[in-house]
Amino acid sequence: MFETIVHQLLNGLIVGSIYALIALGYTMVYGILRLINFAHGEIFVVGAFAGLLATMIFGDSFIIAIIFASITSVLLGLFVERVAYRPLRDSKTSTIVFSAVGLFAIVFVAFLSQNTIFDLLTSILFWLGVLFLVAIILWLVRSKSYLKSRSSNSRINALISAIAMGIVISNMIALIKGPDREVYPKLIPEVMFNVFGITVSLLQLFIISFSFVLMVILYIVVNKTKVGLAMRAVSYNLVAAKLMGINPDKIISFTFAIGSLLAAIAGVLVGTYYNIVDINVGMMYGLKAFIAAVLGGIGSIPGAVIGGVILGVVEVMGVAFISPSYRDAIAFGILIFILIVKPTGLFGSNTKEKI
Amino acid sequence: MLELKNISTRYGNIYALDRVNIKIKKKEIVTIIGANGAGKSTILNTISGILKPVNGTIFFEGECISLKETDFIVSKGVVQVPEGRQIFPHLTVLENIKLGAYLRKDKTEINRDFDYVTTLFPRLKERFKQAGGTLSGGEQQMLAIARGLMSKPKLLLLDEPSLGLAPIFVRSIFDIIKEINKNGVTILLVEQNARMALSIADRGYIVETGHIKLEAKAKDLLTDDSVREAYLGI
Ligand SMILES: Nc1ncnc2c1ncn2[C@@H]1O[C@H](COP(=O)(O)OP(=O)(O)OP(=O)(O)O)[C@@H](O)[C@H]1O
Ligand SMILES: [Mg+2]
Repeated sequence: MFETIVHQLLNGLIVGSIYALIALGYTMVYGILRLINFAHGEIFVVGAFAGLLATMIFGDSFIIAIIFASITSVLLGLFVERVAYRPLRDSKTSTIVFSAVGLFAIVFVAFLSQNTIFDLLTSILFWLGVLFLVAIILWLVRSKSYLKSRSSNSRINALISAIAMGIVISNMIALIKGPDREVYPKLIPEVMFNVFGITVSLLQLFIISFSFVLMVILYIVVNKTKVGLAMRAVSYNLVAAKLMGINPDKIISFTFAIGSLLAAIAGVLVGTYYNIVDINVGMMYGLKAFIAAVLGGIGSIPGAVIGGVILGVVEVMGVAFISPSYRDAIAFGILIFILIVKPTGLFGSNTKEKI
Repeated sequence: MLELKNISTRYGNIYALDRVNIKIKKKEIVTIIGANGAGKSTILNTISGILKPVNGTIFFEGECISLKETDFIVSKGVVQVPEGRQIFPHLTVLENIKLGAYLRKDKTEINRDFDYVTTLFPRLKERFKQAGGTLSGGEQQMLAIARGLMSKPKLLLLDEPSLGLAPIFVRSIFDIIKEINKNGVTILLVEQNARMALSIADRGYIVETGHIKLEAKAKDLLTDDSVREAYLGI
């Protein structure tokens, strides 16, 4: 019994580390733009596939897979920011023209990638469902906190833009890849250890410690470097940050790049851990990581880490000791619970900014 | 040094500035005086590039800056200490000061300016590790000015630095502004406290509902009947 618990704990920690890596991307972008980047889950999937592609070309090297995945996801993240979000911040762009182009892109790509009109409709309906869910979450979070600062109009535009971007990318992947699963190579040698009678694999230890190191690096970047200081300044007070000579666009791009990098790494780790990637996992991991970020308090970096780990552990424990079919129900249950009890999440600030 | 020519700025469809002309020479202290909502902060934000004018041009040292981004304008030496201080309450005092030097790379000069601002505001030195938001109002104003000075301004735009301060603090803030000016920084000072502002300024502009109503030497404005009545409460 004890052995099973430790085992499951370890599993939960691994799933949790992955959630945390992805959740960091959501939370950092939210912290700086008050925007949920709905394309983030897809950026994670693209990372996983780019890593797979790299192994097909260059052989099974973890480092090459990571580098290739990171470059691809970072470029995609920067592209998404540039194309889908920046134009909305820029008052010169006409919102109507922008929305029309976005809508056209969605329908066009969705149409190409789906076999039937029926598939297309289900895909659109699914995303509308997501939109609805998120609208409710945002509304709940907003009623308690600091979302009010910018005009709700541009916020809704940005939200729609974000979701549109998610649809476009997921359909693009389906278009390029076909809706199949792929076998992922084992990129870390299979070595087992015996620690106090419990078997652990090198891969498991590696995922946990690598994630931990990444989070420590992120902590240092955000809290001890100049660019981190600028990130915090932009997230607290955009106008004052500009008056310091900070170019917010550069800082926002940097934030997207870091989030995408972490998502890409998470993608490769998931692939090699489960030996399989599936384009549909992006959505699910994306959603779970989003829940983790909300659980920890969206906008809070330690919150994303703790939220991810809690969600991973609770989920795995639930699967092991209650029933595997509850896996997703547990995550959404946690989401609903936290939204009712403490919408700002574990680490979310209740205090209004003084600015 | 700075010249605004026919500057008009609007929020949405409402014009907040209507063909404003302002000229500032090197080493001057110029003050802008006007009632609440007259458009004083709008003028400063248009100069800083936070707002973009719909009409007119702004020249700084011969270069047109009216459609440039704020970071570029700051890099040219036009630095604003905004209304309500706008320090970063969650960052430490030291981090706030460091942010002022964000664009600079000249390490030795940064250190020299750092020593300069800490001697100008010794109270900040004792509070480096404290969160900016925990400072008193007067200390926050000092921090905002210190932060501005760290950007190495040639022209310092000050938006109501005396706002909400006790009279004794107001005195010392104005003394410091004079001192900063003596060290070679040109000053554009927006104030509600017209008497104080005019007493240290070389020239003044009176703004009313988005346009310049009057421009004159500060001494003359202090004795002008209509100004005395409207802004000096006599
Ligand atoms: N963000 C904004 N959106 C719409 N209107 C604005 C905005 N900011 C200012 N205004 C309007 O523009 C006009 C000028 O405002 P401004 O802040 O420049 O006045 P001010 O002279 O600085 O006043 P105060 O002394 O109260 O600071 C006012 O009528 C104000 O209501
Ligand atoms: Mg004002």
